Amino acid sequence: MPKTDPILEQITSSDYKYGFVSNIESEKAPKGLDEDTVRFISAKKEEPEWMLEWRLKAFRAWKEMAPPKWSNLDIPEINFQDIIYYSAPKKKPKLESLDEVDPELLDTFNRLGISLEEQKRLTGVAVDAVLDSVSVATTFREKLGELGIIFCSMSEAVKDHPDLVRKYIGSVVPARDNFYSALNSAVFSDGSFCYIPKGVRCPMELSTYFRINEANTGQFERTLIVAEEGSYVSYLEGCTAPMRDENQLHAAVVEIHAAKNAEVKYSTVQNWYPGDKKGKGGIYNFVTKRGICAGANSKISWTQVETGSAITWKYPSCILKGDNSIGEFYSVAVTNNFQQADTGTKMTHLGKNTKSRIVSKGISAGKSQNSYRGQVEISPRASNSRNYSQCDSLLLGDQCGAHTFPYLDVKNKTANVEHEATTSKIGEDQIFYCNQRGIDTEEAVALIVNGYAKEVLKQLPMEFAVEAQKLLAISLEGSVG
Amino acid sequence: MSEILDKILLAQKEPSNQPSLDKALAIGYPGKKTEDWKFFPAELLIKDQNELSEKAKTSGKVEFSEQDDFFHIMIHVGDIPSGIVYQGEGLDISIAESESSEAILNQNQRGEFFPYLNSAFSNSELRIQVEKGSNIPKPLRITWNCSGQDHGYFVFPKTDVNCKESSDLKIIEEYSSNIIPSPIFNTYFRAELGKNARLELNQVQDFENRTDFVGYHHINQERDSSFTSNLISLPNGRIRNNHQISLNGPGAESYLNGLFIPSDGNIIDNHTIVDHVADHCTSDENYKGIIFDKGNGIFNGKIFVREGAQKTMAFQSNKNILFGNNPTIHTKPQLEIWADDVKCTHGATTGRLDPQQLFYLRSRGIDPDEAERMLTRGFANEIIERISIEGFREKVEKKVLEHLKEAYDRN
Repeated sequence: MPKTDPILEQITSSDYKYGFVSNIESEKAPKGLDEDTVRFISAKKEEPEWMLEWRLKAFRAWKEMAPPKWSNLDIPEINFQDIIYYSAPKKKPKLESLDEVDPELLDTFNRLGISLEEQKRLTGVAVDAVLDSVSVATTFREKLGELGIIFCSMSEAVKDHPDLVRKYIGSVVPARDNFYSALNSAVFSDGSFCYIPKGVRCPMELSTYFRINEANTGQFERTLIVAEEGSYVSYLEGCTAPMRDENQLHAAVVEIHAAKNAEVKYSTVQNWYPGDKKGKGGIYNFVTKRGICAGANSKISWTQVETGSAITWKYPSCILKGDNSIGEFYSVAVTNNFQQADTGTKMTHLGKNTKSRIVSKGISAGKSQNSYRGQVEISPRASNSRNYSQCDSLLLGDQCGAHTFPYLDVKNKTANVEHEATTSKIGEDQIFYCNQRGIDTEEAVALIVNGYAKEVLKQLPMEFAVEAQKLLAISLEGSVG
Repeated sequence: MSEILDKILLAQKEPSNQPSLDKALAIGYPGKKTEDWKFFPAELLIKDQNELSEKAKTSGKVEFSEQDDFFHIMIHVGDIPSGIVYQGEGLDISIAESESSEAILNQNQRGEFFPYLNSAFSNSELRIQVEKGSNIPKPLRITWNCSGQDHGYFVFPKTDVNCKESSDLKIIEEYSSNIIPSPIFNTYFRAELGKNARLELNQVQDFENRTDFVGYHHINQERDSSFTSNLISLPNGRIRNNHQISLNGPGAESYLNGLFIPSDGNIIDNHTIVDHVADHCTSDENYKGIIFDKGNGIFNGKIFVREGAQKTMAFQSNKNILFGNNPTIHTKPQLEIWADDVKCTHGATTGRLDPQQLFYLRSRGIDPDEAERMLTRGFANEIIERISIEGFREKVEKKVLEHLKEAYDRN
């Protein structure tokens, strides 16, 4: 393999293409965080008293906690008082349809390739778009409403469906779960809420698009998905942010509740701004995602393609409580330049005959560090449970690192737990084979990487899979040589 | 945790190495929050000991004998004056004053508490030197025996092995205790392997009386050297093993084999670190666990491949079988890799015996119990077979079978 490839070099220097800033007037909370900030956010959202109490409780818990230090990440000290915790596009308080949306805002989403109107017409994907901290538009609401499906922003859900929100919020990720979930619980400003009633199969993909626009702000959104007995939903999530020199904080919480026989599929393509080639700027992505298979025969499947963020700290997990329930985790994590990723999953087997499957593919290039950290726990009463984990790492270049930290804790003799991991680079023989057949080195690498990630990419819904493949290619270009 | 430290200091004799003690005190006694000690309750070690009021003051002695098929060093743990134990055939064995804390500091980069504690209180060490090019014909059997009274909570066996260029040595390492309750063994074993040197280290942990054990092995390997460790743990009590191997010269090889069979409330905690510092090195690690009811097995294996350690081949495998009620296994195979041209894999499995294999045997008229035992024996034999010392291997096999039988019968 040649040591340097000029074409590749050139393309790596291609900039982050979502790095623009939109001039949308916004309304912000003052910098810093104290009880007044929490009250301010709650008041802005016109929330009921119980919600404010819940937030304050989380805030008090957070004050007692310290940021986790166990990850294999080099996280600079974050000044939590130097962040704006609430920023919303200044707009009429309520939106009935897309026609009322700020044209500048629509333009932003068009530039992101998320044309809300077009999506509504063509692809049949229902989109909830979240800019900075606030959900700005939700499409297809009426059509979903006919089936009894609730798909709206979190703040609307708090107002319109308080019983549901109150019942499920914090039930999977308690406010005190960890430092960042406590912070999120205290200051979350919006997010998506999704409720699928009993026996309903959601006819279209539900999608949320997150965008950080304002400088110095943190984004704290909260997503809650409740799938009642026998229902099915596939949910997509995408994210981008402008290019900035300073680091921005994104601490989200996602909770999924799957009742008996329900199935939830959650896909993420994460492309926050990763910082420049010298490692300056970028998003700190500290996310807590967890689903509970509460009923028998339920299934939760996480698929993620992680290409962005300066630092990623994210472990989408499943609690397999119902008997025969299934948890899946498919992940491709790409790090380039100075990116750091510590990501993986946690499968907690509580019910009998529960199954989990973990496929993690890490690709590191440049000077990046890419870690897989996962836990499989088989509790004493989880008889006949089964786990298969596979985590592979691909190293492109000799200055990056690939790390694997699996924890396997088995307390039942009938369990069957398998873990496999490999680390390697692209073989010279593989490249040679392609060259021989007239495929140049750059294409060959793209081909091999795509083949390597295929097992995960094929889990994504079609529209996303195409985007993810392109993202993979762009994130890696120039890192091979 | 400071309570525990005070208790230790009160009972132990005066430290022979104050700087090491200061380091140990600065690190502090490992608690549940210490990541590496999460599953091994180190604080219970002391709590379970009888209250001691008097300071330790036991004198020890060392005996050397040449048997038909091995050299035997018998060491009664305690204060032993320096002196030569044996010289000849390229082998130089002596009791010497313990090395300074700096040597430990260089090895103990992870800042572990117990190597410093050992260094603080072990005023003498067993020093073994193998001359350049010497091929020691018989294995060296080292037995550390703890007898007599007034040892304090801990005893501190310390061994330093220096295998010079192109030498070849096999060691059988044993620890035993006649005291009930036994003091805790806090052992430290260091080996330097010169160019092209070979060392095979066999250790069987099979205590007659309930004994807790915290052992450290630090091995440094030069170019083209080869190190093999065969570790058989049949715990009666709680055992924590730490093996740290540094592959410092190109072409060095390391083979770590382990078999652990905890049952009945016993704990065995194996930590290994294989550090690929130089390029073109190979490491292969194979640990197997058979865990019976209420037994607790832990495997924590780390492989580091440093920047520039290209063409590294590092393999790690941990397989476990669980039997009975409430067996527990915690497995954490870890890879940390900073070089790209490497082949590294690790695998871990936990489960039952293969029903197909059981069926095969049953269809040939073997009853289910016997079939299970046969398969378990086969599972264990893969590790026992790695022991190259004939005679000794057969003894180990017999011991393992007895241990398995006892565990089965209790089941």
